Amino acid sequence: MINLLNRRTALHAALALGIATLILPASAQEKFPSRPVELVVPTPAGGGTDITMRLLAEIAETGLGQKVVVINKPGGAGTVGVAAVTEAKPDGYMLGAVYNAPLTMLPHIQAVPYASDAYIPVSLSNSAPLVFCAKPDYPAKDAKEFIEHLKKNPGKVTYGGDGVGGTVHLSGERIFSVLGAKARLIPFQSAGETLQNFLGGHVEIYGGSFPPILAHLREGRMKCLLVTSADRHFIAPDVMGTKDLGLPNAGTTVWAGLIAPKGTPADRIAILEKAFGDAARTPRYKEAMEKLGTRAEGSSAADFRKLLDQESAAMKEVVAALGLQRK
Amino acid sequence: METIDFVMQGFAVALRPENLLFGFVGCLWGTIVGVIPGLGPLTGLTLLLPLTFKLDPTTAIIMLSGIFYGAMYGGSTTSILVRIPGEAASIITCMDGYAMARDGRAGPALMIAAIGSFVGGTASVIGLMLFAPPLADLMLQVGPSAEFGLMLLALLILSFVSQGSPVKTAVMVLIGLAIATIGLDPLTAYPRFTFGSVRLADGINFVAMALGLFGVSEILLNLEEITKVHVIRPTLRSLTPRWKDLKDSAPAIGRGTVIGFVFGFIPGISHVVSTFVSYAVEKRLSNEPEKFGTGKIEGVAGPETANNATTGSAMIPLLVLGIPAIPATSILLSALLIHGVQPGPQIVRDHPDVFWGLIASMYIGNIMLLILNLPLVGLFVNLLRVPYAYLAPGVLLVSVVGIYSVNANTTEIAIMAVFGVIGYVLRKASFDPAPLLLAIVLGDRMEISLRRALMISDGDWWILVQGAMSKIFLGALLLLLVLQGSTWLLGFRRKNAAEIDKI
Amino acid sequence: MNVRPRRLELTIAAIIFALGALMAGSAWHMPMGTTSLPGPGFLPLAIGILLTATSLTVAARCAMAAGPAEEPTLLGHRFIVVTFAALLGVAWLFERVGFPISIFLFMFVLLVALSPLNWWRAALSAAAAVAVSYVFFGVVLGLNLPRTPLPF
Repeated sequence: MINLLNRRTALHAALALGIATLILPASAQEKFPSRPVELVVPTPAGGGTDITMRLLAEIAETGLGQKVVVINKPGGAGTVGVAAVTEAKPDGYMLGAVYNAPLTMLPHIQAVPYASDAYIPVSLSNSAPLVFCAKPDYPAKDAKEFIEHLKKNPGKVTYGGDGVGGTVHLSGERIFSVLGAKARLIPFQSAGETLQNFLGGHVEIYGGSFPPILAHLREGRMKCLLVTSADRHFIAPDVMGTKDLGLPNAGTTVWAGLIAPKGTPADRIAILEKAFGDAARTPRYKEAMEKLGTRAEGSSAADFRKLLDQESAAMKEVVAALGLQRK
Repeated sequence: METIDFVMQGFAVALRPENLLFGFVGCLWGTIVGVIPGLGPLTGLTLLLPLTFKLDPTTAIIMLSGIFYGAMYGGSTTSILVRIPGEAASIITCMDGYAMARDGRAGPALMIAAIGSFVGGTASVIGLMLFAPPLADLMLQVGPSAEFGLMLLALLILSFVSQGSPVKTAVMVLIGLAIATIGLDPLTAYPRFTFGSVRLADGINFVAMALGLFGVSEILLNLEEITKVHVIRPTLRSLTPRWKDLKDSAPAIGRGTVIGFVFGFIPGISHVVSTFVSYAVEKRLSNEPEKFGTGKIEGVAGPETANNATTGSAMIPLLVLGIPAIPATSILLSALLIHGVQPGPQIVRDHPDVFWGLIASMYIGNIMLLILNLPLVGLFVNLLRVPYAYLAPGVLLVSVVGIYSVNANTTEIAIMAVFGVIGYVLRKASFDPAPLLLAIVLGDRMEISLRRALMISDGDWWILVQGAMSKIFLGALLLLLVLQGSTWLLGFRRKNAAEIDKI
Repeated sequence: MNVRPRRLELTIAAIIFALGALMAGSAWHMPMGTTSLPGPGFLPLAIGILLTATSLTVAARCAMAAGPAEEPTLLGHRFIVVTFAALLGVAWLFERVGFPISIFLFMFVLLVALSPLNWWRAALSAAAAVAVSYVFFGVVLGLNLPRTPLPF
């Protein structure tokens, strides 16, 4: 009898507990995270952002004490994935692992299904400049001569890059347009395709990221003229950045960082910021990023916010100068 | 005979127990993701990539490339059994492979597909080993203008593939080209037929359309006659190919190997283009071209060999130039870079273990895949014994999950359903959806390569005939046109003569 | 419904004609570029015009073909409507109610409609299909399947 009663009480208690977890809102006391965190990557699997963020996700699992599940939601040049994040419940269990274009570039060019305040930055994870390179016999040996050459032959030089209004185009034009240099973009679908057409001599200048060209650079099959960041890059410290051209504020890097939907509680953002920031600063992550030609960052949410705002403002001008702004 | 030393060294690496084990895991995994409609090598590679962070670089690349070429083996299975292309490279296999299955000859079709895949895969490794550097140089010669020539050539060959009437084929090709224009124009970012939707910015998902037009439409057609569909009861005897099958297939497999390797030059879509070129060639050379589409084994053997023969050439730009020509190889590139291996002209010198170990593992992997796939034939064929009322929901379930997983997007499921109905109606009116799908693949690249070439030349159309590669492709195009024209004229006269004889 | 093949073909030709005209019409407003550098509107315009032309050819050939009286063909069998609806339904539900529930409903509807199973056998089979496919896709393959959005 007692036994039965106990059993019934236990059953009631369990039921009550179940209902409690059902109806109680996620309270501050609840340990966060208590279940796996989802990380939406807005590119197809295997892209640059995807690989670096998958590794980060794996390392951050230790700090979070939970699994981090990476979900690829490609489409619309990254806007589909970002939209999915901004529409998610702001409970800290869904984050986006994003890069420049869908946040700071595309919104100026086309309508995107989210406002610039629909997401909040969490942490910047890694960044690397883009680079412009030429064949070894090209009639310019550094950034200054390259710009001079472009000015002397306006609209003659062809450079391969990632599409009109893409990252290579905009970060290149951010420099060229200020200096009055004109070059012709030949858009390709991927850095690999750009490299192939560059090596085959179909375009004169390679515009893109470092990883695909590392081997060719080492063997002297190409020489790099200009990196798009303000500072020089550790992969090729002898190549000038925009500071060397007297444009300290015209530098662009391709970065990857984490965002959360607007309205995510600040204490949860802090937990995520720390976990992913720490993960980005581990020697393991740093080392892996260096091999990919990228710098591990692990910056604060505030610094990331500043970067987003500055870059978006600058890109708005570049887009307008190119006449690509949305109507 | 330095190469032989290196190869032996490579085999020593590839035969290490851990490399054999992970190579096998990769091949098995590749076969599984290849079999499931919607999933392809890309999904398979991403799912296993995190595991490789902890592996030795050689082991990691051996396993990952196992997934890559293993998926080509699996792709044909559902094409043959239920007319659902496991991936884009198996669309063509649906035509004769499925017809064979309806005939109770699913066993021989699957076996020939496995054997052809083995021959094509192995031959392409030999090609990779012997000719990689010169082929890489040749690949670099193919710029936008030459690519345009090649696309024109492929489009002409496409017109030989279909069984339908020429006008209907033309309509299907045009609709395919029209669908290919949906999305942001890649050269100017101008939105075409997107109706302001971000989801249409990349166009309509190709895999979803293929699954709908082929797989779902076939299921719908069969459901109509669900009470009449006769159950195919394969016997053990009917599992293995007959001597005649092998004799018929051998030349097709030989030609498929060459075609696959040659068309490996167009990165990104070579695995698809090579299959229908091979199919068209077989149909042209056959004594009974009218029987294609009704279960000719050559129509399975050639294309299945060709798509596997492209795997070797897809590795060439990656290993020799460090260029990830297709998404799947870009994952391989990242995996190599994370382990500190930079693919490129010096990979053979700097990392002989990785390079030769990988080559040797590809020989071993292809043998493993053959051994793995032949017994599976019996298992798969037995699936056909399941009554259609249960088989159809099951197949649809697998397709739904598969197509969702490609982009984690439910719109893809709806697209598959809508194109299923479109395919059903088209086939009722005897329009063949195959040219439509293949035209989508070609159309995109053709337009881009033409306009890109003109951007490079700053509007000078002569760029299209400049360069050795352009001349070769356009020359082949002319030759084909002349041949086609003359056979048409001859056929016309012969027909007239026959009619006169009758009188 | 039953349709005559020739009428079906004519209907398809008419639809394609409309699509082609629509395409050419909207391409007209796109940037055409120049003859030396065609813009994004050039190819759609060309395809649209060619589509209208070929669809007219199809219609003409169809109308001229003097065949014997044709067997009417069945279009849109009950099973087809159910299957199409089930596919659209699962597309709509998949992320809203998660993998287990949406797939269960999908399989249940299809099995009840297509197979000779009664409803409770169909329910059991559908549940079994959910379990098997969950283990295969979610556990063995490790795919991300949409979870049920309930907090337990």
